[in-house]
Amino acid sequence: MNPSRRNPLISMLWDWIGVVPFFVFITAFLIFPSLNLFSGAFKDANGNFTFTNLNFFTDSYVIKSYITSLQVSVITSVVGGIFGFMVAYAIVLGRTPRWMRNILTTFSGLAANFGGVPLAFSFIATLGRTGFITAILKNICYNGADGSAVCPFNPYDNGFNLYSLLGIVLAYTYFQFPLMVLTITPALQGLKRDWREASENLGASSTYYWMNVALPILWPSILGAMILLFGSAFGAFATAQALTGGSLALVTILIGQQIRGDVLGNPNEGYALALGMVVIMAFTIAGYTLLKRRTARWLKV
Amino acid sequence: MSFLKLTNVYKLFTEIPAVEDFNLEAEQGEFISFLGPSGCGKTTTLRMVAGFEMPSSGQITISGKDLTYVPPNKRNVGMVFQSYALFPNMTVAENIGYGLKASGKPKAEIKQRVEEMLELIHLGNLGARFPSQLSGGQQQRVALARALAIRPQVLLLDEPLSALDAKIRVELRQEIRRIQQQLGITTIYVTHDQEEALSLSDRVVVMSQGRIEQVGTPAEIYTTPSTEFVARFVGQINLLPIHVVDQPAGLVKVGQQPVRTSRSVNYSDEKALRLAIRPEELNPGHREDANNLTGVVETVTYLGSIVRIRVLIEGNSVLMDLFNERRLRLPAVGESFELNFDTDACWLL
Repeated sequence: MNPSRRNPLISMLWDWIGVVPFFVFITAFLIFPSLNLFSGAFKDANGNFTFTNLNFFTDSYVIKSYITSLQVSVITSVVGGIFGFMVAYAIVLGRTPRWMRNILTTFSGLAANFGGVPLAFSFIATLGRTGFITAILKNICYNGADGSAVCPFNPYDNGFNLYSLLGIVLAYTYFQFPLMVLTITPALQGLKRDWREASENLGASSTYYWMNVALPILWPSILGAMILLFGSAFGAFATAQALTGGSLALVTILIGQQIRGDVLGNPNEGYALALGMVVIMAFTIAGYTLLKRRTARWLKV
Repeated sequence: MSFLKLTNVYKLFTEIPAVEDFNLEAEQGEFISFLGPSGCGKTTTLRMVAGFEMPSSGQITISGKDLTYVPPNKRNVGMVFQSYALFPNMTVAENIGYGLKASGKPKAEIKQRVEEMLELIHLGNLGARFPSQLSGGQQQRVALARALAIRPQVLLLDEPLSALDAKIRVELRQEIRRIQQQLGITTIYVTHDQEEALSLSDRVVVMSQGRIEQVGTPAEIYTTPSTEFVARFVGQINLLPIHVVDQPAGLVKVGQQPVRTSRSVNYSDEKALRLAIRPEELNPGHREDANNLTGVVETVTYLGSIVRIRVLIEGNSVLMDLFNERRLRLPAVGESFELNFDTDACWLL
């Protein structure tokens, strides 16, 4: 049958049928859980409406967990962002050989999705107290003045602890920087060679071009990628849980403890904590939008 | 002494020659076009003048100064790109002032120069707009103003009109010529459009496979092409196989039909010789004081102001262009047809 002669209602339904699975998925696994979370945050154990769960935010342990989560997220998104940008630059604009670019791109695709328990164990196996890199460093020794062996490179004697904030930052950076590589690479590819050449042709140095053309053009993409990294770190749970065994106060670990019920056991307070995270992410995204509007007026026209 | 000089310039890309033995001298204020098909090396040569490509050997000088290995940002050469290459994050005024700001010129001087440039390109009221708010033609004018704002020694234009529609292209090329003549700036213009090259230039450099085929004024290039490539590439041409009857007298034959040419007949291989005639040099009918050829009409094509008639003569298709006058009598396909042309309208290639 000629499509133009089909009943308009059937035609419209036919056009929309392809997106039905998407809407079913979104409803089942995003909208419904979110509504459940919002309503749960304002209910007591008996299902009655209450604001008491919000009192939980005045608890110093909860405040500390938010601060630690924010610290980890900000540090790893900035460090991962800078590191990832440099790698993406090398891939797209650097003069690295093609085989190297292929390796970096493939590695980024894998590493960005390598989180959770396997990542935690790989870090424990390398930088844990008995990890093989720790063992190598521990065994680099020389003879001291009195003839005894001096081994100055044991990281655990020099303040390093994998099972601490620093360890979490290291582990998170492992998947943060490849994530930055994957998200910023298309933006770097969008920088036209003609812009750089026009800038050079007009007498500008490379630094001047980057400060006045390339970075301002990339700025919205960089900000967007950093927000993604922030959200990725802020919501991560399994890596931190496996690495620290829940000893480090992160909001996600605290939510896990509240919902699982083995230590604290108040799911509604867990919902309230999750609501707090949603609010923080909402503010972050609002800040990003505002900043983007101010710095990239040209995108609005 | 010539202002811009390219001497024995070669460019190899992984051992494949892109430009070979390129020699050119341009005078101050001259407008020169590089004309040729894609991949003939015209843009590579332009990019070597701009400093974006380094010659594999040879020398490039401007005003006597050797710039062969000088970086692009130290050359003071303005370039207009095919893609406009305007910075999307800057307004029109900021784009035009970019080069002046980069070189640390005072704000007042930048403002004055930007206003001058906006007036020059007739976009005085659009300084605050972003490139995305302009049409293609307006964007290319801004790109031109930006390149001129730094007062370059030489202006380079790399197929600046190829992304624009036909009407705007004609308007803008007149604009480019006006501005070039007003400023008296030495200009190199890269194009594959023969009409553009012929209408704009003081001299045209026709290129093929990395080499110069011919350098000359538009009239020289069109009326006396030195190679078959130039003859075929610039305008329409009929090339008919001939055999020489009387070399000193300039008498040859196309099949069995005699043709006399007033130009000299010099050749080494008769089989490679071709009689060249432009379609517009051919006239219908018989004339006693001219060359006459007879054939059969193959097609008659109406092209608006011109009617193109294809005539089969001694096994060769010959094109003839006639002005579409009201009294023009068009022959029918299959009809026997005689055409004539002057002895100095044809030559041997």
